[in-house]
Amino acid sequence: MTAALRRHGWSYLFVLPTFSLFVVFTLLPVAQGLVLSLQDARVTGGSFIGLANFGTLADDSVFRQALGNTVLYATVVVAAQVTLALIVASLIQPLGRGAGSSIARSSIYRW
Amino acid sequence: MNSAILVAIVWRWIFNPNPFGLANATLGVFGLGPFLWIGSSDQALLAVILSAVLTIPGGGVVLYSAAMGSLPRELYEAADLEGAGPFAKWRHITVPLLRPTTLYLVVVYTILAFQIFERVYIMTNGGGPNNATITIVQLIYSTAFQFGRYGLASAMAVVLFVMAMVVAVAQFRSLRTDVEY
Repeated sequence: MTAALRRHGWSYLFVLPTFSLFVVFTLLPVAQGLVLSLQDARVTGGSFIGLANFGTLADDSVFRQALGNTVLYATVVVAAQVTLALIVASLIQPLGRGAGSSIARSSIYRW
Repeated sequence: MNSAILVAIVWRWIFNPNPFGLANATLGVFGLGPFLWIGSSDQALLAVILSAVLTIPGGGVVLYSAAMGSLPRELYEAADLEGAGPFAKWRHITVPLLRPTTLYLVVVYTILAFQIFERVYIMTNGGGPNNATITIVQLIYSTAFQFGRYGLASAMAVVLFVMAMVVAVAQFRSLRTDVEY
């Protein structure tokens, strides 16, 4: 143990509650999801089938439809929202710091 | 900032297929429509996209406003001396200097957009006519929790994760900035 770790190591104790919640509810489920994607898992459990699920998805027309819809939605919406945010921010910027600016900012942030 | 479910319920009401829906009534004033919107397989996805596009992205406005406040004054003074107009200053100083904020917003909004679920689930009852508005997360939900095929749904989630990661890396590469101020 180095001097720094001996001196500040106890501070990890304060991170522990949040970190353990993160491990149990985020990190482990992600790992389990990766494992499940290689199984023919149902409610009752499943066995290892390799990459067969991904083959099923490649042949699934509904999944391709969902993929296309999601990509179309993301492309249009991200382009529009970032542009809109830039334009609106540019328009309220010259208002300065007065009452008008505060009203404009807070009413926009509500949305 | 409002509950996503409440927002989606209001949008479902706006894009109601009957002539008295808010979108149809408004367009009807100009002699357009009525459109079927979420009731038709052609227009349902358009209605969902419009519902997102027509919302002012409050978080993005706040981040852009904050970034604009910290841009260096000297560049604008120099531009004033050169006789640059307001639009030229915006186009050649403000927008390029806001690039780090743009990168952050593009990456975060893309990841959020890939996860679109509640809008589709509420507005078009989870897919719409002929699966017109089905999205990946919607399909993950129905595959796992309605049909119980957890393995297949997990494979979809892995595909979505890989997709989001590849797109984010591409965005970081293309919007990376060399300018420090």
